[in-house]
Amino acid sequence: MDSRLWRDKLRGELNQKGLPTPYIDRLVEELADHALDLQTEDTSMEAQQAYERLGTTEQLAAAANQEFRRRTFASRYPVLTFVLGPVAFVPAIFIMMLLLAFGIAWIIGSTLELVAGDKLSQIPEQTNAQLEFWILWCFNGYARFIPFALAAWIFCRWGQRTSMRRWALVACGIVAVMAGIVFTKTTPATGNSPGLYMLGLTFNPNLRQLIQILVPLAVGGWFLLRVP
Amino acid sequence: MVQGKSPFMTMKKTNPDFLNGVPELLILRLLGQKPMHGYDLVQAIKVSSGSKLEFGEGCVYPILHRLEAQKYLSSRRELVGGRHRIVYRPTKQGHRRLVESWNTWKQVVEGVTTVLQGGEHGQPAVA
Repeated sequence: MDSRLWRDKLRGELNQKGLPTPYIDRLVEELADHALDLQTEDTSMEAQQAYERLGTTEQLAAAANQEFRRRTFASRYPVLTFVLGPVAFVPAIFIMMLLLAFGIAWIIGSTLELVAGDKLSQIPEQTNAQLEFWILWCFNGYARFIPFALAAWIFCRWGQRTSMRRWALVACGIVAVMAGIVFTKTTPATGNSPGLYMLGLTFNPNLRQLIQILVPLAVGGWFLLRVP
Repeated sequence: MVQGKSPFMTMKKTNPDFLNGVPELLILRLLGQKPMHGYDLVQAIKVSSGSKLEFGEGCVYPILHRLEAQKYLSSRRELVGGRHRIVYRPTKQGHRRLVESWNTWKQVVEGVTTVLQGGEHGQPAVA
């Protein structure tokens, strides 16, 4: 087999295993060097023979895939990473994302107060209530979907980088279950009473919570099917 | 530690499965003696084993890369014989790993030897 053909075939096999491009480049380069060394040492050796000494492309791809998996924390401890990992990680990312949202809201509020000053108090009460409603509505959507979608995406990326997509899908399933038990309730402010936002954990199957479950699963499915 | 089945040793069916983990041990040992690039390392394995270990030569590279990722080896591009080659050498962690692997290997050999010798001289069990 021609050396270029052999390289292309090996690249194809390695790509199929989902190994990262820099890893593939380096491996192919070193193998090509090795074949060249074999031919330099034994000038009568044909390229075909040199490649046979390296092993078949299938064997090399299998070896590379296996060794690449063994080198990561995730591949050595898949249950810890993709089963127990989400259980610990999701609450942490949820709290972090909420704190981030509060931080951003505080910065925006403080800046507006500095810039607009007294003009803020001149905003009509109805507009104010509408504004509050929309901010709360956005925050509600953010809290219910974004942290879980982000967690699922992180585990999918991790699974992709370590060629452990099925484990990543398991992690997405766990994230989905956790997303499904998050419950929120928004009560808009009225003239007499202030608005109320409730956030808790409960399993109360309804369409909203079903959508919450579906989002991390959709992220996992998209990664599994679409991302090379 | 004896590790999972390695393709390094599955290229030829002549080597039994309990040799798993041996490639890592051999690589760390030989690189500990002298930093080498992949081709030299493969030749060193052949020479030092008296050509008794047969394997697909290319399978040494994924193991080198994994050992490097695990910080047992470091690599550097060097000019060797007029060509730029990736030369590997063990790190301090790699030296410690070699000692551990070597001790494990000795225990495995000792255990297997004991079993084999016991099997030869022991009395057969009567049901």
